[in-house]
Amino acid sequence: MFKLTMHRKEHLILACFILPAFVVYTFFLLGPVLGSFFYSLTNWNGFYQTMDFVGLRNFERLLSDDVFMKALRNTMVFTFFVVLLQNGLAIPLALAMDSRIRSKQVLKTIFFVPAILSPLVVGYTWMYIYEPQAGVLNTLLREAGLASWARSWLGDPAYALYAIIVMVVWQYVGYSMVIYLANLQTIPGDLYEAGSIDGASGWQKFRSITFPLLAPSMTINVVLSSIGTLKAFDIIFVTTKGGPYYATETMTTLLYSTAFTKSSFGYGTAMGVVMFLIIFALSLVQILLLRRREVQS
Amino acid sequence: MPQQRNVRTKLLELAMILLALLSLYPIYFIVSMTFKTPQQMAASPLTLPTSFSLGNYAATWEAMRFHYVLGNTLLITASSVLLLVVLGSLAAYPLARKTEKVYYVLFVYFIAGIMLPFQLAMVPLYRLVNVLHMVNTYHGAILIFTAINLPLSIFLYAGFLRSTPKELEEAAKIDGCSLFRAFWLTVFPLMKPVTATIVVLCSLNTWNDLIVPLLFLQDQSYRTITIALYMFVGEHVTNWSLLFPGMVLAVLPLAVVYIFLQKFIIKGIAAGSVKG
Repeated sequence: MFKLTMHRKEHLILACFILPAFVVYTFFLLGPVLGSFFYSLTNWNGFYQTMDFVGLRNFERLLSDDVFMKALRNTMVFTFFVVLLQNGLAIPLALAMDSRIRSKQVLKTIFFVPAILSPLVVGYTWMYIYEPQAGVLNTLLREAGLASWARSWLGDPAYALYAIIVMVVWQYVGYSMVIYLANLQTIPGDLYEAGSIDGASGWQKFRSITFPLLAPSMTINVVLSSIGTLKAFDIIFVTTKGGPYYATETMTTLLYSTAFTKSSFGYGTAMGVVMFLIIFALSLVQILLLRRREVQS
Repeated sequence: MPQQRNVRTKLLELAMILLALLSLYPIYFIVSMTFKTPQQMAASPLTLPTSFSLGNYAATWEAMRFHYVLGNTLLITASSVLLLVVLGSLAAYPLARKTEKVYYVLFVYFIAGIMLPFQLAMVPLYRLVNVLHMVNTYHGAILIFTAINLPLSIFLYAGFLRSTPKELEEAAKIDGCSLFRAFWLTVFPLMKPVTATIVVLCSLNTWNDLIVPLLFLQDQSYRTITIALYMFVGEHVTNWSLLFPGMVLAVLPLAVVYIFLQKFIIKGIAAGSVKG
């Protein structure tokens, strides 16, 4: 009996530990989101007091909405390339920073710099670099005799999404590098010595020692960069606003313009719900797959 | 053999230095533009500035009312991060330590926030904040930022706690410490590395955010740096000589902090993510 009340008391105290965070989080984030889940079943426009309950009609409409499908595809392409390039570049960079080069402390600091900038500043900066007439990139191309390559990077539907991918990778590659580097420094040196004694080449050592042991940081990096890119909004909002011709329209920008600019709040939130389900499913699959790799290695 | 290795290290170093310069170039470009006269700006963007007058900066500072927005940003970021560390670490402690199902469900409830796009919360949140008379207030923005960053903080704190042994706090409890004192005196100090990570990440998130101030801090006297820059660009689209210094000013406070604390910041990012 005494023991039971002890337990009760402990749970009560622990509940008080959780309560403040629970209240703030529920009131200012999750509650409103749940509200939106409800609105996704209505035709509310965001302003009037009246609305009708339309069941799943918003979701049915999404399936035949070409712009939504385009945004969905763009989001997937955007996320795939950002995650691939960001991690594909961060690992060699981290390896270089772990090598015996003398200036690595300074270099590491420099590669990380873009990660502290706001997407707003990054967006504006690259708009001047990509600017069609006087922009840095086109000026360089013209001076190198490649004038025919010069184009309106953010204004051409064939290139705009990739131009934004470059911006995002530039901003966050240093961030991923730092996480890989911390992981590299936990790999014991004797493993490499043992490898050398066995006559393994540098590439063999990377393949059978470094790469498998990088699994924990890879899980974190891939999941973080996927969620970050799927949710990316500011960088597109300040550069192309989803244009030209929906070439850079992603789920977040479409959600925003549908719900706020076009005042179809019910329909816009239905997009948000689908988006949440996609992020949720994708992260779950990634975590399961990557965790399995962690366990195996 | 060592000779060959030296050559390879030197080549690698050279390649890395070139890459680092390339990575820095966009920032250098913006800074160089702030020192140019309108005529020089119209010429090739690759030319170097010839004078170093701070006149453009002074004009931009005045036009952006920069001292104001800097103060607002500092106040909001610092308060929100402080609240986040206290609420996040307290909540994560039972969530990570207790095995009962309730705690696990609550943990998932918090973590779900990492995956929610903020746009989904926007309209209902705006109505709520409006009803509570918190639009254009510091505490409104601070609470919203805290709510947005809580899921990540709880995730990082809980992950860290699960990999640290319980013995210390148990000893403290046996010594007759209350649960809260045991947490505060033994667990919280242990979590310093992950607290550093959370402070760095969440400060950056809050400082650089555009959408929360865009919705909730429109009033001139509550604007933060990002929203001031955003509005400023809207008003001065054609006046490049004010735009570029505006961007540099927006970055400068963080850049200064970064230069002085870079080792700490980089270590902080890594510490919470990779458990040794």
